[in-house]
Amino acid sequence: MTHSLHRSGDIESQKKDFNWFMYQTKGVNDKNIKPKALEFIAVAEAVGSENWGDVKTGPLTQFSSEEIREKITDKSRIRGVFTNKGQVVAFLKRIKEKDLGMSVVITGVLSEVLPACKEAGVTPHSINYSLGVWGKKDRLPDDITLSITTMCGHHMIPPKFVKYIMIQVQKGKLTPEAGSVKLSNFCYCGIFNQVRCADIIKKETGLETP
Amino acid sequence: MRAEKVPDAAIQEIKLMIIHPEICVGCGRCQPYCPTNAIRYEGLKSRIDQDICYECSTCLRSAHCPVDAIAESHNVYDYPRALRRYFSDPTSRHVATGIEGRGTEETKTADVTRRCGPGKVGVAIEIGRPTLGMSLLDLQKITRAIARAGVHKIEPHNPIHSMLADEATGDLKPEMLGERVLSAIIEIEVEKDQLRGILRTLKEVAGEVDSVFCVDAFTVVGPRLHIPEDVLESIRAEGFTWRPNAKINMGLGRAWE
Repeated sequence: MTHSLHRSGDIESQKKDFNWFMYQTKGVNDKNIKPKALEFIAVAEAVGSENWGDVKTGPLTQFSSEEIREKITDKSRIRGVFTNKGQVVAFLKRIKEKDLGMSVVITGVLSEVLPACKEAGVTPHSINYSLGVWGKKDRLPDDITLSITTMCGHHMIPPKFVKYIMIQVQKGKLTPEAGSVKLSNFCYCGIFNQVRCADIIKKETGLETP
Repeated sequence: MRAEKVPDAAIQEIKLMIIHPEICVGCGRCQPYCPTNAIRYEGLKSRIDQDICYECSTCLRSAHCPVDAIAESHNVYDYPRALRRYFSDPTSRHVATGIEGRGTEETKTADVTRRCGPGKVGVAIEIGRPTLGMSLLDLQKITRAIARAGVHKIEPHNPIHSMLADEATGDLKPEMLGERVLSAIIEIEVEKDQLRGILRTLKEVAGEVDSVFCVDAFTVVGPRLHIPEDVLESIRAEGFTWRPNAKINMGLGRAWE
């Protein structure tokens, strides 16, 4: 439990980082899910989901919306990214109205998500709390690197690739946005927030505009 | 991405995720793409260290080798080596659960399954994350500690359940203890009054584990978004704090008519 839960970093940065998920339940409502998945995607795109994907195909930063939609099967996992609370409110309102019967999960900072639920008229069923990291923490990369690598919950992003991208940006060989897309493409689920990542890179490389 | 059949002679020499030495031009481009630093130079060619490779396929998916020297052997699904792939590659489906990934649907569909209802707390321990990976010996240290604490029921649909040799002791099947994976998730469900004991156990075993692990706790929310204070108090009492971000099930799921 679970790959979007343990995102880390500066709290103000995390307030611009939400994940949305549609889940089918094995043996209960997991047949012919594609029409419902397409409705979720349509709503997410309408409210401006910056990245989304299906682990069976890959993320929007690497594949076209059409390709990901076309390859949806009953084994697909559809999920994505929002960067502000307004998107979460609009998404929840519309999904609730559609009453599709699929489980919906939002990951984000509680002080943002819970008011969003209230505004959308949604009463959550349950909360999964992160109780932090334990063990040999002295072996972990620095906090800035972790704030990027933890945006792929399966930890497909190598810390040294983050450093490589930072150096490329500092040298002017990549823009922060292009570098963040390269990092996003490691995350096949589509839950990597490339917008937040670009902001982190800008700040870390001194390219942030006041 | 290439996944073509590897010549038998090559498989005998260097099994599993491989870089063909006769094709590799030694550019090193693939090396920063490996999450576990398993790709290094050996002489003038890049080579995958099979001991630490998790079989996560990231090099195949992302590194875009300019001469297509990276390939996957058909031996990758040989047991117990196959555990590396099942636990480390999110695009593979775990044979024990039929679900992509390392855990189960857990809290994400709890509004439909009614898993972990009132009076209970779900606890998950994600070993190897963030980023370090782990040996299955580390997993066993935690399954044993949990068993000693009196919890003998790991979620039956979680792949780790099928890896136990003895649920009473938390011992894993011995043949798999030499394997390494990017991460694995132990999922348990406890009564609310057991939560403090389990959290205490996890703090104690943290010093023995040769990696890191994340802990999370899952609770059903009461009417009008009432968060059970006794759960939060147990967390505080054992010196844990919850992070500002959380995963919230919106309660919109149901069994279809």
